[in-house]
Amino acid sequence: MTESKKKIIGIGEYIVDKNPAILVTLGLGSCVAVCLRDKRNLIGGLVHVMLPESRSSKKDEKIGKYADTGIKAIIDGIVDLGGNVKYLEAKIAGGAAMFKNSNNSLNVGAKNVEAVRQILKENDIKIIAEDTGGNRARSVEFNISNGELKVKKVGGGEKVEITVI
Amino acid sequence: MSIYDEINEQKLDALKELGNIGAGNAATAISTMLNKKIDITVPSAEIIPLSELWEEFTDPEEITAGSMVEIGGELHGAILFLLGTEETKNILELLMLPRPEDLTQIDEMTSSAIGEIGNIMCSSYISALSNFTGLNIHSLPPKITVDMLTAIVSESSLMVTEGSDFVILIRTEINIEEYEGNVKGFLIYLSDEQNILKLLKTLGMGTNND
Repeated sequence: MTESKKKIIGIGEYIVDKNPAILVTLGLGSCVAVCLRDKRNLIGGLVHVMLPESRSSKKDEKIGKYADTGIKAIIDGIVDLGGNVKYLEAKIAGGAAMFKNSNNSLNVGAKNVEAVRQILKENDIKIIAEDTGGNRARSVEFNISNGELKVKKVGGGEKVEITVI
Repeated sequence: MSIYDEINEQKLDALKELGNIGAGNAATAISTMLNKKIDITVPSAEIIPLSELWEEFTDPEEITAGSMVEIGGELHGAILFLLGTEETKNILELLMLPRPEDLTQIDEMTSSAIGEIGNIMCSSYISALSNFTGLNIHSLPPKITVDMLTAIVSESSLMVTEGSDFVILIRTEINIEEYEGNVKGFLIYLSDEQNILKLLKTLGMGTNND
């Protein structure tokens, strides 16, 4: 049995792929990982969202940075690979406020989660699982084959805990 | 012109020098505080796309204590002081503070102590920069976290660059002489492109000076 190769993306990037594939991204603080999967055709995508919305003034190539353009990019990508939007389900993780003593009136994390929810709602895509908010950073691994989202987070006892949602 | 043209090798060398001055000052401050010998390595100065930050670490999920001190005034950026869990506990012990069992579940006092150590290092760094460049800059109160290494550096970089694609990192390794070998930590100066160019300009390395 061949092991799916893990494909890692960084901040502000996105990727789409067919089964078998495990899509990975690390270091989600205030950022949000949006994982979409066509559960019928087993095609999926992952985007590491940094900010709630793209600023129209700047011509930005890194569309994965923003919730609006990033989610659109993976929906389009999944369709290009033969997927169907009506079978799409979402899982999201991230949006934490990492630093203590933070004068976090901005709270980008919460804004990112809100923006992601809004865009998914506008696209009629249901969020079937999520691990968001809190004070801890996350790393995620999204399995296109079975739709499992592995979330790694520091727990008590100075260990990284793995939760599967 | 790409960022790599604006900030060439020569300018990166100048930034390494600045890193040396800043880290040197920070090391002296903490050395006095701990009454221990401190060594710093030659700094590295790099332009890193935010999307590639995760590749910088051999163990991206290593649990690390991070103190971030932001720079305010004529320049914006941040200094990050990173220390592993064992090392952090050892330093707290050196400071005659109770050694915490679990850094991921610390109380206010321990969190403040970690913040203070970071504050001393980072403020000394900023102070040296201010003196050297003549820029009116000051440090803001420290922000503390104990979490996965990549996340700390990524999140700090995001705060400093506010959405742009590159972060400039000037990185120094700190070695603190300690009873069981060396306590190893990292001091990282984080900046966006705009502020680095401003900094370089004060050193007489503006864009016209090539």
